[in-house]
Amino acid sequence: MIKRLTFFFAWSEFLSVCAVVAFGAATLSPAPSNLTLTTLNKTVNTVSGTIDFPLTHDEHDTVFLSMVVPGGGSAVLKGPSPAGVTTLVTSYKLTGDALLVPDPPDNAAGWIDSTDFVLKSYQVKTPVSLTTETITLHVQGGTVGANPPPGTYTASFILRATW
Amino acid sequence: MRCKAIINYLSLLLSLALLVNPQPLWASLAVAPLKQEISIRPGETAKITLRFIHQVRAAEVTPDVATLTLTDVSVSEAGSLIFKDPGTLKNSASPWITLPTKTVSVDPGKEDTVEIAIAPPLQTPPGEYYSAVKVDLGQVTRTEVGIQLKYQIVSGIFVTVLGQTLSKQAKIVGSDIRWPSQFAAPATQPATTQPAATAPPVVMVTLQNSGPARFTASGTVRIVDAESRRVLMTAVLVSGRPCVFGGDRRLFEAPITKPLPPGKYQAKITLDYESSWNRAYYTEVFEISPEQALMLAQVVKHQADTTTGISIRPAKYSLAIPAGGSRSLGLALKSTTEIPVRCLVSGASTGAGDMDSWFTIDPADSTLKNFGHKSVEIKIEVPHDAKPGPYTALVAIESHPEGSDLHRTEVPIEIQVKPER
Repeated sequence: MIKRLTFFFAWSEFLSVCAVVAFGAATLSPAPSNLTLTTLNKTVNTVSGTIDFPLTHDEHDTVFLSMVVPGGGSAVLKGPSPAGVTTLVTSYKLTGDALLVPDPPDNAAGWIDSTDFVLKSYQVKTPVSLTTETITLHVQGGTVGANPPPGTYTASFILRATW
Repeated sequence: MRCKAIINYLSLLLSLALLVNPQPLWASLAVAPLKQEISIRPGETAKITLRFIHQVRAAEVTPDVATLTLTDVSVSEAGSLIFKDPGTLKNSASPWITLPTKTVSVDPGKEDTVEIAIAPPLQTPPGEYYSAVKVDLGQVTRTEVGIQLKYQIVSGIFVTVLGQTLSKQAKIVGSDIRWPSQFAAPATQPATTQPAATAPPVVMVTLQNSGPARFTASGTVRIVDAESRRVLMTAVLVSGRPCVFGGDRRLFEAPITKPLPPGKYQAKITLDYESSWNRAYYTEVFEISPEQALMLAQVVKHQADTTTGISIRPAKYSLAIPAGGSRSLGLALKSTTEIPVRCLVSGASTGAGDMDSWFTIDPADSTLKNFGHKSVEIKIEVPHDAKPGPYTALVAIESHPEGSDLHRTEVPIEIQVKPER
């Protein structure tokens, strides 16, 4: 019996030597993308905007999307330097039909603090065939109680697609 | 002073408008595959291929450039991937992997491939090892204005070094019932003045992969009345990433979506981890206070007031099966909305007998799109040693229309087990 089992494992190992199994493919095609900041409220001093990007992927494996910050940390709108307030309180969300559990598309709800947002990953639904769908990144920045100082505010992200 | 404030305000508007035009990124490379699994003996060399396809969009005429970097990979308890420097993790395959190039340039409409060599040294112990190739897309041009968004696709490399059969072992190392924060501790104020909760409590389970081989786990939780031993509800446990590497822990969750009176309960948890002869079991004992019972009833009522998103047929099953026999039942799920509806289906006994292992449900997790429908197969296999007599069970369907609440529907099953033929 032991001999038989050993033979079975040896045979299955022989068969599996250098066997390669490949899963899925993904394309991120964000060309060109624009962020349009349309709202500036004098009282709460918030700005918000969206970036759309198409995601193409096939049906063979699960795909996850996440946002990471080069060098680590959270992605906060920063600037202007050198004087005054240097960061905006920044929130984000990711929406789109392709996501299994998207954030709420309603502008008033579901904003995620920048620190938590970069820890979150979003599962993409498995399509029935090769599909291209639009994902939207929402960005909101602001301060409470005072106008942010004039200047250029920036944030830097990597949008990452993984298995 | 006021004038200065206005100027500042206008300057801010102008500067924020600069955010409107970040550097356009022209990344349209497809990377395939997203994950590769390879089995190899120590001392041998194998090659895998990474494909890059330039999909022409708009009026692109320039080649797309991607940079490749090798990285180690681990998975957090919640299921997120964590990338580390190559060669820093114990189960890293990175030291034996050679990337022949750091950059790939693909002309519009063309395709390119990169062959990656994997050569585990002769003394490598048998086991599972992991690495990944980060593919950074597009021109790495920095802009100092606006939101800078770069794109990265990560392709996983799962290497099994042969030489020993890797067994699948697991145990449940913890579980808890997570209530909405205002209901987690004993109430400090009358229930009527507490804020209304809309999210149900959640059964949280931590599964430990205690063996050397990865597996994909799935399972259910049954809520049982501690006194009467009756099964009151069953639900599918879901995870952010049900594939668990050797040595890792993973979190599985299931919401409690049925009103339960105050009292003592048992959460009986079963997780299948692809072992032919074993499953992981765990029982969590918990108590529901009057305040928590009220909150749960409110949440379930709130959910019942909104659309379930699906219609289900049939409403009940009644059948006879001989011991040692099996039957397949069809469950028809039809979406009643254009919104995608995720459906989780599980089966469990409601009587004294443990019939959970009798059920096989396929698919247990599916999403209905735009008034779509799905047929779910419920296979019931009665063991040879099952005593003849009546048995009761239920099929629970949790439907979750996107952006809406989770709903629970139960279909009762009555089985008359006949003597073996």
